[in-house]
Amino acid sequence: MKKSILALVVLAVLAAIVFWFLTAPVRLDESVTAQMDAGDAARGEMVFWTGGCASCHAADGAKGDEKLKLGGGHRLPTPAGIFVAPNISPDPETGIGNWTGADFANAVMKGVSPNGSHFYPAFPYTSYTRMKPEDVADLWAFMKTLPPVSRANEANELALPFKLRRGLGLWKAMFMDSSPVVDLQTDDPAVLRGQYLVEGPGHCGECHTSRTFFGFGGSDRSRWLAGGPNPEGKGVIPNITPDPTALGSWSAADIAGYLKTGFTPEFDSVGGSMVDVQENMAHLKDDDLAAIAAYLKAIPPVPKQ
Amino acid sequence: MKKFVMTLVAASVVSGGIAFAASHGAMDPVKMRKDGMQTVGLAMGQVAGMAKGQVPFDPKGAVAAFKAMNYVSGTIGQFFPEGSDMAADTTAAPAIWEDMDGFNAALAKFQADTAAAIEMAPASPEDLGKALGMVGGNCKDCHEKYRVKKG
Repeated sequence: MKKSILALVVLAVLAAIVFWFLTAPVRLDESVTAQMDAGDAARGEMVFWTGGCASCHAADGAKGDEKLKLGGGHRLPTPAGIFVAPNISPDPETGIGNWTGADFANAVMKGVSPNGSHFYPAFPYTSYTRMKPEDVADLWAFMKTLPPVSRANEANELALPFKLRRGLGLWKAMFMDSSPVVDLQTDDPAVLRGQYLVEGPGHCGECHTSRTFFGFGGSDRSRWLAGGPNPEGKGVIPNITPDPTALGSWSAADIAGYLKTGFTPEFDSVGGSMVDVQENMAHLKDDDLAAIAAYLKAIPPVPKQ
Repeated sequence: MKKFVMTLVAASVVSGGIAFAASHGAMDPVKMRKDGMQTVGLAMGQVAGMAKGQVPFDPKGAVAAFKAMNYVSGTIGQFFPEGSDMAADTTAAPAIWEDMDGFNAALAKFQADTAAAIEMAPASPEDLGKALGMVGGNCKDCHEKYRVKKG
């Protein structure tokens, strides 16, 4: 009897050790983080709009220059609870003013905070992990030029099991995958550029792809960009694959035009949370919008479920 | 050719308006507000086509299109009665009924902006582009809060 209790204790300790190792935060290699202070702020502005940082980190309803004040506060409802976007303005007290370039890159590309804990994947580092380090460096250079906002962070409102950040290491091991999503079999530079923008900084799949594991997992690659129920509540997230029931009838020019102007080919307009995304996208250069459109025409069509 | 295009523009805008007006009698608020929005989309397509040079510029047709939008913006508000958010095929967001004042203010702004565009009577595709800039933002400003996508 005594022996079996001892065995159980040993097993529990072993399991705890294994858990600790499996969930340890993984940081970027120093060869990557060493580049972070050589970014170009002007180029970084384009990365900023592509990445949609303002949609969560600026105040709700912010327009124009207000989108550059990244004090946080946007509430994002998910199956795990409500996430409240933090302050990522260069304020040293309440924002990220004391971060180094390496801190920033580890946050964006690995979802690891400067003190070594995991960020929740409400922060779409699961897509940003595909970004080119030089783009992250440019973005960092731009972020440092933004106005500091003094606003203390609020706690997320999560159900108990999700409060344990360490467990996210396991989630990352299971669901974080930095490989390209679609095997495009093409060398068309526009399509490949579009793939980078959509699968990486644009993080379109975070909303437009349903998730595995009852909505708690990663993107369901078999239904890539095919939309699904809106996890924020009412309505659906549209299917944006070239299926006839989705964007099949849209030309590449229609898609690029929609991102630029907010109007569909039938002159319906963009709505809901996509309004903010479209206003970010309207900042992009025309050839990047054309590249996104070319990629969306090139991916496998997925029929309505 | 120019006359033909003008007639076509006028006819499509007017037919949209008539469909909207005719549906007043049917008293199905969901159908009526949908017809109204479709009329706006049609009219918006006409002026945007002209501004981009895809359709020959026609000053009368442009004003007619803004008039169609102005008419809808001033009348569509009555087709959102209490409880009509429950219809199966509506894309109207519950936010309309939670914030009726905000919704009505958005419609009033749309009405004022289209009235200004009619007043301006754009005389060139460039001017039409400016008028469109004044009016076009209303669509997404309202759809951002007060519409939900369905399928």
